[in-house]
Amino acid sequence: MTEFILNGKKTSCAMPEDSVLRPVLYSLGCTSVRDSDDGEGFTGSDIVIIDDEPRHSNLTLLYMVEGRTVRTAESLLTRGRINDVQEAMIRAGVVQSAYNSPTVALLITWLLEKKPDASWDDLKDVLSSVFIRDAGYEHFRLALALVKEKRAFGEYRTPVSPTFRDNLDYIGKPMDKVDGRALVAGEKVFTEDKVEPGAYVLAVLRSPYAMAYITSMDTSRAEALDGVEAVITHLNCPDVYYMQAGQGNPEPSPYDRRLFNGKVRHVGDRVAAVVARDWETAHKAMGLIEVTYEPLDPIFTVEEAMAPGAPLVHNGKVSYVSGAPAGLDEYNKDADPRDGEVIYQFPLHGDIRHNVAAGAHGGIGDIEKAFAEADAVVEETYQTSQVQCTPLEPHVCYSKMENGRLVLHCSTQVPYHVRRIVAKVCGINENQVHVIKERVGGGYGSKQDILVEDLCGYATWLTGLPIYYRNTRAEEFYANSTRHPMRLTVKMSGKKDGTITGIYMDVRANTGPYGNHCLTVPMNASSKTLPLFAVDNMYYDLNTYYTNIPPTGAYQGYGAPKGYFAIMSCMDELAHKLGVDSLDMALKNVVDEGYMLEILRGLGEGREGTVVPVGSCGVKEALRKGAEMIKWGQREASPDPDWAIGKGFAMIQQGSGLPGLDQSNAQCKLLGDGTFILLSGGADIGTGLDTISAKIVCEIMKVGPSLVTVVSGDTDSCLFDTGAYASSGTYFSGNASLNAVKDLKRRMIAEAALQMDLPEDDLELEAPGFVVSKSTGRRLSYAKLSHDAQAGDGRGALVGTGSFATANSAIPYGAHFAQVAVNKRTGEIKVMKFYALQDAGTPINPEMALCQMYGAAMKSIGHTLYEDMVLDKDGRCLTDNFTDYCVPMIGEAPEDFKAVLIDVNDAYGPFGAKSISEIATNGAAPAIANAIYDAVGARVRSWPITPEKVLKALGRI
Amino acid sequence: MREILRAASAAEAVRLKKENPGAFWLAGGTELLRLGGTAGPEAILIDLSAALDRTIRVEDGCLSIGALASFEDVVASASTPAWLKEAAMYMANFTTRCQARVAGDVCSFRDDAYLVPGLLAAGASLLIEGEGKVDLLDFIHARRADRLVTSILVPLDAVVRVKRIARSSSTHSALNAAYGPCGYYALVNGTGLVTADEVASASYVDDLTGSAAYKRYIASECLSILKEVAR
Repeated sequence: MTEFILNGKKTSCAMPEDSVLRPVLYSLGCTSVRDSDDGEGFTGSDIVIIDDEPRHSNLTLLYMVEGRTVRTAESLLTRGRINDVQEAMIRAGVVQSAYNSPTVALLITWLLEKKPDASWDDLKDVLSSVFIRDAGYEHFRLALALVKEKRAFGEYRTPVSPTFRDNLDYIGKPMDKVDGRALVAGEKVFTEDKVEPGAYVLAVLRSPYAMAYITSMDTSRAEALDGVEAVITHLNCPDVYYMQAGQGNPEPSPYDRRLFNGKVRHVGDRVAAVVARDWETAHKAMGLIEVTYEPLDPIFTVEEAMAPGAPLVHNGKVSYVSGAPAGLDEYNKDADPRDGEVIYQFPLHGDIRHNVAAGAHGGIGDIEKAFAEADAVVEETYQTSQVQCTPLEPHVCYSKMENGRLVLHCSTQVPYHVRRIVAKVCGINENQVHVIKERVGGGYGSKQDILVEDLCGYATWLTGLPIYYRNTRAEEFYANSTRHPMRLTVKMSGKKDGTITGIYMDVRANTGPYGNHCLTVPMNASSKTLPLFAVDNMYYDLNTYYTNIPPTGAYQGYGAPKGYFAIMSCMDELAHKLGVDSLDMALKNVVDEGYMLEILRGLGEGREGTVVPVGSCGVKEALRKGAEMIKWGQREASPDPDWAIGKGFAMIQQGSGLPGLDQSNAQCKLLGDGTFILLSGGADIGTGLDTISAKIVCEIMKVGPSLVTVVSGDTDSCLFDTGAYASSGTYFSGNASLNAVKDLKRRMIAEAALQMDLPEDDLELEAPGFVVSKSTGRRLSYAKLSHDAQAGDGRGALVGTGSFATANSAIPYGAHFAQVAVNKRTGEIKVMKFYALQDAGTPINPEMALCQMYGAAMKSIGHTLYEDMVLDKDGRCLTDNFTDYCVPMIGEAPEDFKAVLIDVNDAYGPFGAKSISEIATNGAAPAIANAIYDAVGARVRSWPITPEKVLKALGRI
Repeated sequence: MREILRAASAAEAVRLKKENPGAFWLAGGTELLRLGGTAGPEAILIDLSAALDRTIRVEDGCLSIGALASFEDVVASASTPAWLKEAAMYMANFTTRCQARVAGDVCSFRDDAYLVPGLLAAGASLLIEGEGKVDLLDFIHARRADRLVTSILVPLDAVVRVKRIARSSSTHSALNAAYGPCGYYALVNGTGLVTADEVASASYVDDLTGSAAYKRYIASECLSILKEVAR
């Protein structure tokens, strides 16, 4: 028995004394103490205070706390109320996906106990313990200031963000995130917290080969093991082809996999799954499965995949649901049945016999004529590496049967796609599946894909058992979705006056073993870059290749960060060749409001796109303001001769959802006491979408946020939404909420007119919850309105329904500027300044928007300078933990880091809003690469831009 | 299940280790328990928390650092020379710095150890239970896991310059180097300890931290840089 003081209370624990402390604390009810790194001591989700010193509870054994005091974030609560640090964190906007927010709050509280006047430098040192992927670190400085102000003056004095739209009360103003308190307190809000006692576990046996046929498999010894309930393999899984990308149906990705396949296509590919009563049994059972492989020669690069006679990753029968090309029988005559099948929903220019998963080609004007008539032409190739989303909460799923239905608790960006795909895999109807999206501890695109729910859900459907599955951190790297590596060749031509006359992009993307997003992600390399240029001659070719690297898929930005790295680097190279200032060139060639985007015709996702004019557009203001901030054109002198300083920038855009493809729906209900529940199909993944919905209710209904509750992402209670991806949340789900609330308002006015015996046009809504007659001043409370409407003689409950689908785009624009210092002798790079300026239309949650800009820019700085998945010659991932993979921490944050919101008002977004965070992943790579060139004349055309690459470019090694 | 043996003194810790040659000494736990742990699930662990101390004091012109002093203790001590604080701060993660013990860094024999190059350049020595004072360089060369370090002795008059080359603050270093009165010492990932005389001839390897050519270059360049700074 180990005895210690836990959060002020004497605690006895009978667990073995060598138990790791973290799960012990979790089992004792301290759900704030989580695990993001499998005991690496890196991310800080597991931090506790032991005898007044911070400790990684994953690196502490139970016996070590014998007789000692242990504090977790639960100690910060007083009768359920969060403390002032937690309040300030919410106010500052840093509580977003929040998987480690409670431990951060604990650390800051501890720091302020030790040092009440703690400085930003003190806090930065403490924050070196925590990995913050979503919100960046900058607003923790604000949170610290707010706490100090509250303690000194009893109130916050520092504005947390600029405000927008003076005519509105809630939109464009900071407001505490509706789920902020639960998240920062460490409440049971994540999928892992829903797992019930007695739940079974699922473990996956994975391939040791990058490509191989499974020639035999014997699971009998594993199945005979006590505690094993099922072993699922390619021999007994459903013969259903599907794909794991969560995309609109019909999907622009091929159905090229089953739950398990007779051919494994990457190291870590699924070979078998074991359902067992506990992890120990599951792992023992996996060791008893006998598998014989016929290894095949793997391919890992686009070049290897393109080579004549290259090994084929997929060589099965190809079919099309619609639009099958002529000669398909001939094409399939040499198909190998061991490879399974590839089913395209419609043609994607794929050719699996040459490892091509998808392709696209298009453009406008006469590109060759443009090149021929130009004063200068630059053609260069840029390479991007494979990087991982690294959400703090790994992919998890808890599935169970309830009244004959399959219930899945998920950490997902796409609950309705999960429902559809799991139903398909299980061979059941969608009404038999209930998906509950829990709070999401980070997604960044990787939870747009159905990577674990398919298997976990099927295992429960097969066995009838409640089953919990959780990826290890290593599995997150080698068996999860990642950013597609790409090779991009850009050819750009221009005139001496700085006019760009032609742009050609040749994009060769590496989709890895399966075709998740094989068209849509690589398409973004062109479709989110070319429309930024007011150039008459533009053309692109795209080919995506199958290889045997770990799987790829969606990652915030899709292909745009790669496209921008190439196109903005190339523009900088062209400007230098022409002797033109690159900022002048950008301003001369960038689109402006009203410019007709002819290029869009050839940039649809597998179908013809719609030509529309540029709508609201703040890119020129972002460029000019950013240039002023960074003192563009002014050479900075370095105090150390070994270091040189340079500046660079990139102009950027993204999208707001997928017009013509996406749809969102919502309902808003007036309850009997005059309060509201909004049911949103949208998936809040920590970014504040539920808060946006709540604000919309507050704004239209003129009530405070305490009278509004938002329920979202529950497929039983909420209406369909395509999901949180492609920057759709604010624009699509927000507009659906707005339409639902407007519909409810219309119904409330109509009902009030009947109850008050007044014409509808005489009535309006008034704070704090009344229908008021403009002519008489008579008032009817929402409570009485609702009560009477749903009384025995009433006309029915008041419910508004809203849907949103559109052909109109609400494109966010921006410009990112970087100032770097480069050591000419060691190649070291410091990002001295980074300014992110973005037009988000009306930022509905401005403080959260700023944090997302910081967070996304940090991700972008990460893939630009540090992050890299490295495989050995056999395809094994060598970088399957945070330390080796090299994510940026606060030590990598720019010394001077600013996010600036450019104020424009969009015609189509809710209250003029557009998307915000995804675009912020686009700027760092070209801005930093161009700044490095400006500093030392070294042009590095592949990310990550390491010191070694800089030294090579300088000719030092 | 792991067996925990609690040593009440340094002598007992050594005795327990002799009786259990496969056992591991456990202090902070940031190395031994990291990522599931070097020690397996059936390992014997000898807990050192009652056997050693974490005191940092000045003694006979040396900074005496108790083996259980944390990296953060070293950073926080007013007696710690600036170069040693800088080297301790190379462990970027604050919580790890509070938990990790300096003797663990010395005894890990890792190529990316934080303090070792600086301590070598300063001419540091160790107090080892049952042996007394031992030169750090000899200890490193011997690479024995059965010797219990009780204190690290750092000459306070040593002027040392340190430099760490890593892709980011929290990843493994390609090179961690120092230059001081006892010379130039660089820990190079995949190679180990390299002195000034060995920079050109040492065998370097390609790994995650960089290519062999890169490491050869920076091992040499950092020697020049540190010498220049020292001047």
